[in-house]
Amino acid sequence: MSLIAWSLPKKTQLPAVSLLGNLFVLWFAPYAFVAMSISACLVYLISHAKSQKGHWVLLGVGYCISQFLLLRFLQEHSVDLGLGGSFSVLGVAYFTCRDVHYLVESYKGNVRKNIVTFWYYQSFLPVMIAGPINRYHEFEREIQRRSLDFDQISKGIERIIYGYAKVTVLGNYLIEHKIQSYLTQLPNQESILHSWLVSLADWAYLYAQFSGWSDVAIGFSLCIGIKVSENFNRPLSSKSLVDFWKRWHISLSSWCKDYVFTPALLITRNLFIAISLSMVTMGLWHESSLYYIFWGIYHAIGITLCRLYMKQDNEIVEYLRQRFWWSSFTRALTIFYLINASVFIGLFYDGLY
Amino acid sequence: MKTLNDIYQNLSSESNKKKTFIKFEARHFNYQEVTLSIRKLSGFFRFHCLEKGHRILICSDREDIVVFSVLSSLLNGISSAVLPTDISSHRAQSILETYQPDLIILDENLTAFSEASFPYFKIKDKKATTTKGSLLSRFINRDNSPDLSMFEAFEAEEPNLSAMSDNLAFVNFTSGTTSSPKGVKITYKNLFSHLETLGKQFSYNADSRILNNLTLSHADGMIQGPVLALYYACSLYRPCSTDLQKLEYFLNSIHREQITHMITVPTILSFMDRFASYNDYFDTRFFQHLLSVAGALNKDLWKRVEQRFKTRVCNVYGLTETVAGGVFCGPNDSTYKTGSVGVPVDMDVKIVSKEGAELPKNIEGEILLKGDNVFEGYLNNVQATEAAVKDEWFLTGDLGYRDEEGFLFISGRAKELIISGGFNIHPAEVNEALLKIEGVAEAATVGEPHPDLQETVTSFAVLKAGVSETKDSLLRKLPNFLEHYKVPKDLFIVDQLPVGDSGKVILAELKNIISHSRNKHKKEEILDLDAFFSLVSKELNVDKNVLSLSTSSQDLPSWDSLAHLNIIVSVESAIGFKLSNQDVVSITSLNDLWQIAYKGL
Repeated sequence: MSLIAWSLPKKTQLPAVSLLGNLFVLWFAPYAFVAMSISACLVYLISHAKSQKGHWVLLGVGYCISQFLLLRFLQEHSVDLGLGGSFSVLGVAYFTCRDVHYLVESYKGNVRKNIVTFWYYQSFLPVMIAGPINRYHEFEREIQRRSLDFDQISKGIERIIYGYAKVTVLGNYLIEHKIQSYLTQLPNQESILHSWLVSLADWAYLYAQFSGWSDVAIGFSLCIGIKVSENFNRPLSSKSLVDFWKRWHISLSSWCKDYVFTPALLITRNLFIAISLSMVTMGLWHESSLYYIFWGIYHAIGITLCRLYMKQDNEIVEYLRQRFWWSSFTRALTIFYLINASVFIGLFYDGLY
Repeated sequence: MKTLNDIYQNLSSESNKKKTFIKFEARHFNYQEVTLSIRKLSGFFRFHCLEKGHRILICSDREDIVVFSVLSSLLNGISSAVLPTDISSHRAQSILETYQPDLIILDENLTAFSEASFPYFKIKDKKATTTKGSLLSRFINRDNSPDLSMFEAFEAEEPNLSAMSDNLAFVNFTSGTTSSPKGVKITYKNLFSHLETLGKQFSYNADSRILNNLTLSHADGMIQGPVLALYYACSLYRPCSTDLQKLEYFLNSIHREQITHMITVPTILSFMDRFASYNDYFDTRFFQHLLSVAGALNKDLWKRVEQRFKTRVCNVYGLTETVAGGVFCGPNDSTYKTGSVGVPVDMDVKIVSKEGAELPKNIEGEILLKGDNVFEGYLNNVQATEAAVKDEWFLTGDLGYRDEEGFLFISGRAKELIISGGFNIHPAEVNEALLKIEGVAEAATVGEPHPDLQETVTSFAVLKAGVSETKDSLLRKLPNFLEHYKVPKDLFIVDQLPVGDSGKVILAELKNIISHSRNKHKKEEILDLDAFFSLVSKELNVDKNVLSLSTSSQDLPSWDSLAHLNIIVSVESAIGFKLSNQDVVSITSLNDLWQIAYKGL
């Protein structure tokens, strides 16, 4: 792809990259391609319509979310549409977020009308499948800054190798094949310690997968001359839960903050409701299930408690904050809360059925 | 120091590599194309019997034609002068009489030279590049061939590279009264010694990529642009104009074009400080130096720009009479001190009292400069030359002092000059234009401090008895006698001008009148649509009646980037709050501005 991006005449480079992105999705996931094309057309038309913009934007957001839920439902229940071919919703979670972002930003007047750049944005293959959820104005800026720089290409290739190694060697082989397999062979499978170890391994696996594929996407983008924002920033070094969600899957967290948390807070003026809605959205983005609704509420409770603690400025809290061991304690507590997510939600979830 | 032969050899050897010489927004020219164009123009000059020692005058909006004509004439020993296309016919005529060109190359639609009795060559109106058509054709349309079809009939010939160091290379016309236009004579020695200094100071070489889109009729645009690129066989990038709406695109070009040197004016730095969205424009492994030229750089702005964009701003101090510069602040630590204009390089500086005695350190006086880059004199103007050059020392007219470490500081001006957006404007020229309007008895002009433009022009007029001219009607008439950027931003009609015992106008009192008026204006102004149009018409120098909410920057030639900023500043002061950066850059029509201002109110 990098070769195509740089070997063609300059004016045809990005159209070729975009066309390749479209053909890729069309070939591997024709249903996703159709859905993506319909929502892209709709989003662009609504975003740049002259009248009744507010209502139309709401309708557009509603359509994008409905389409996302429908496609997820069809995939999770393996519904046969009778049209032949395999049903795949490749990248639907990402292009839905991008579409909502574009609609809202255009409503706020932050997007300039340019159908060509919009097409590039929608069809940018490196981030289509596994993110990050890149922002339109950043992408537009990168198009304006794009130039052939072998140093960047070299860094891009390094990043692809690094990311792929993270996914395969660290994630698939070491964590999944070795550690998780080993954990299944341990005695006392019902013990809380075992649950913690399994949960820790799950988080580590998720990190290796998500951040690894993000590295690959960032690397591929660099090879084309487009810089994509980082998606992970050493999440295990987080000092608190709030800090963790600023470092973990940053593009999704910031998307939820801008398009769920902020509007919800403005409407309800209730911090817990706003956090809960964003965390539940984040959960459902991963998987549409009751489990992830509980997952969202669990993390919302944690974040709310953390925020309440951060607001405290009494003598005891101030005293603790100045102790050198306190930050190590809060770091450990953060990880402890995270690995207990699956334990608590699992217990609660099991209790329902 | 290089010779013309060395320069031409470099040009020819680079032409084999297809390296870019100059890149405009829509098209670029590689060295091969430039070499061919220079040869074609050499043939063109021969056809018009132009030889070493002759003079050409160029006035065109076609930047490619201007650049190639100047470079070709430079190599052929023909001196050139470039004038802005919005020049008034009065000034054009007086320059022609002084310059006596052997050929004028001008756009065919220019009316300023209609009464000229000199040989001319008219440049046909370039057909607009088609942007319509199929999506595919917009992508694959590559029109990079030099469009010099009008020179097609002429044989490509080798340039005559025999000019000597004391031959005339350029004549740059500075602001001055039409009765005595000042044509600064720049010889090859002046030019090349200055280019050598620039190279030494800022490490220019064949790999340099310069971003400079200052106007080509300005010495900093031409000398530190195409001429510098030719001298060091490097590349020059001249993107779109630096309109606020295109500021991001302009700044992003630093990364895209792998720019090594950016040459700009304090006004653009101020725009960047106020309206740029990001801080990392200079964060590329290629970028080396950011240069501020043509005007004093405010110390606060200087610090803000450096802190925000994480790059050192180098200041170049000089005048047209020193080609473009001579005193440099940065890039090295030894020559760098924020607030100063730095230290002289390849020049001597001394500070003198009114009586001409050299002053010690830290005492303010007039700054005098001496060096190989100091001009030979004003063309056909012995009186002005004698007043400006004494014993090889050039009297800059700027007041300043040197500190213990030898850094030069500018503290004021001994001569009357207004510097607005990097352009020098002589108040006498504005007064002269005002007096040309029938009904104006007396006129005076002062500079008013401005946060972005450094200064703006404000004039005072005393009307003859019984004359019913208004401020708006006078401002509308002025563009007939003045270039657009010299037209006052504000004008006061007064009963009489304050004069001192010697009979000279007291400028300090005029400034007091402005200051009182501004404070009063702020308190009284209430923005309604009528007041809004009045405000805008004043800034755009157009009749209020021609404005409507649908008027956009495309409709009015006077709505340039500076006017855009002026409109916004006026509206901001009228409504009492600042518009957001996002709002400012998104405004393209009066309706946009009105909606934002009205919503804010």
